Amino acid sequence: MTLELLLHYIYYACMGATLAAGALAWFAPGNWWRGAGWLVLALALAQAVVSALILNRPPLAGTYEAAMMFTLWLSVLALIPCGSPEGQRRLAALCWWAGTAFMALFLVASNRFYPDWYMYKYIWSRLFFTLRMASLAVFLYASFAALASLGMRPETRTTLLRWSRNFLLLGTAVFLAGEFSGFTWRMQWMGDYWCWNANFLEATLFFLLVTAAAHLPPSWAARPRLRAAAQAVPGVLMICLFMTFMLLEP
Amino acid sequence: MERLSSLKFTLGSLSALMIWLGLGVFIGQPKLLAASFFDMNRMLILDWLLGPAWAQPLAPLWFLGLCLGVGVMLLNLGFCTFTRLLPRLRAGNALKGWLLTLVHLVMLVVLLGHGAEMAMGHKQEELRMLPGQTVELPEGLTLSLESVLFVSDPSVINLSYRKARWTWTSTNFKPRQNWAKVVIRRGDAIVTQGELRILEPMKIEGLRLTLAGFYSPKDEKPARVGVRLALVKNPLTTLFFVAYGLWVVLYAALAVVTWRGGPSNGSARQAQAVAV
Repeated sequence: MTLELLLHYIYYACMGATLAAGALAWFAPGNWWRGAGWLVLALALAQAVVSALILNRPPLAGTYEAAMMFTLWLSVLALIPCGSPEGQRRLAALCWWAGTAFMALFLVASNRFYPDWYMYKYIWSRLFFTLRMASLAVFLYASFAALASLGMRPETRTTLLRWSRNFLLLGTAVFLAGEFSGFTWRMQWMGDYWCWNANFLEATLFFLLVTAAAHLPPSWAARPRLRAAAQAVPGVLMICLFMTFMLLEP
Repeated sequence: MERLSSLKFTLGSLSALMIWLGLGVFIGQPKLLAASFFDMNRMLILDWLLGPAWAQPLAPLWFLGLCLGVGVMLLNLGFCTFTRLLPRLRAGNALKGWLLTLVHLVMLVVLLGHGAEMAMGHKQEELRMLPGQTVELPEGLTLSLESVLFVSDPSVINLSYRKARWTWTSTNFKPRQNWAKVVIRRGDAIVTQGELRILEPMKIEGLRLTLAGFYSPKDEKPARVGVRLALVKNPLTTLFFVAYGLWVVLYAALAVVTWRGGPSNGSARQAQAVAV
């Protein structure tokens, strides 16, 4: 069996497992969802490893590679206990279903890998792409934590909103580390770390979006729905924009 | 003072900046003002503003609007620092307070370093040279391109960034094997010389000479291969990178320290009180 064929099977298995794990976490009593979550993680990891073997580098950029890495990151994050069992189930379900959605995208979109651009050999470019994708996955996870808080009991809601806020902050650190890598890469390559173009402005816009979510006036922050919405917007919007731009690429 | 340091004002200024950046993303598209943005990158922003910027007034107006937005945000940050952040250092969890304050102050240093970079030093991107050509550099230096060695397939040279990304694969293009031989002189004396490669800039008295890529003049036959160079001198680059690195560390530390209790700020406590 070729690696490409193996990846094909893992892709379908991963899509099915994320769908099932999400359903178990959301609807079914008991702890089956945890086992399913570990299976999702194993499959997402296998998918990334087989892709890396095919590419001879880690998945770095392009819609397909990004979706694969988002699924992997989300399947790791979904298993971290957030301090509330009922909140954790919801949050995990949202993460896995997002994985299903990412995978399902490639039933219609092109699932080609990006070619092995010579720049990918450079450590700062690898760091930039890897950290950028990791940060977007963390922001999406923070969004899901905020969305999962809606309609929950007050204690669970508070726990999930704080969890969401923690990951927004952590995601910002990862995002800025990615920007640092990108700046270093550009300076070595083009002479200056900054460039006035749509990509750099978008990245700044993303940062401001997260910053805004962390600066809600007290009276607004006291309203759970509003706070949840503010904390959910950055991740959801970023992923939507990111995937749209990538799908529109020639 | 109270209003200028309020979180509503912060949110308002951040929102306005986001809208303005969104507008920048839109007008920066190839069919609109991408050419003006290209010029912005070629030189110091100050030189651009005093020179070619006004050929397309929308681009400098957008940029000045951006500066205004950043200025308003900095004003808010300054007032917040004095009325909210610094007073908190004496109360509650000192470590959280310090981290929160430092995250804001280091961001200020990053922004100032970034802003100063637009006006200080020297910048020349997209400097195109063919073998045998000489250009003058700041401080009485001259740069001569002695020769270019391009062993990879020349048909890939003039591709756009997006196309090049698909074509310049690690098998098609070996950055170490393609280089430009340059000589830097002051008067008749050679200051330095060597082979310049992609991702391996050369430093000459604080001036960073970078080989950004190769090009081939379109109408020439036989086709010659030239280079696209960048010459940048910025006294604050190191400060910017140190501050940025510190900023990342502070953000991560703030996330860890406030993991259980939330941030040490009045808004969270007040919000909790209102919620209870």
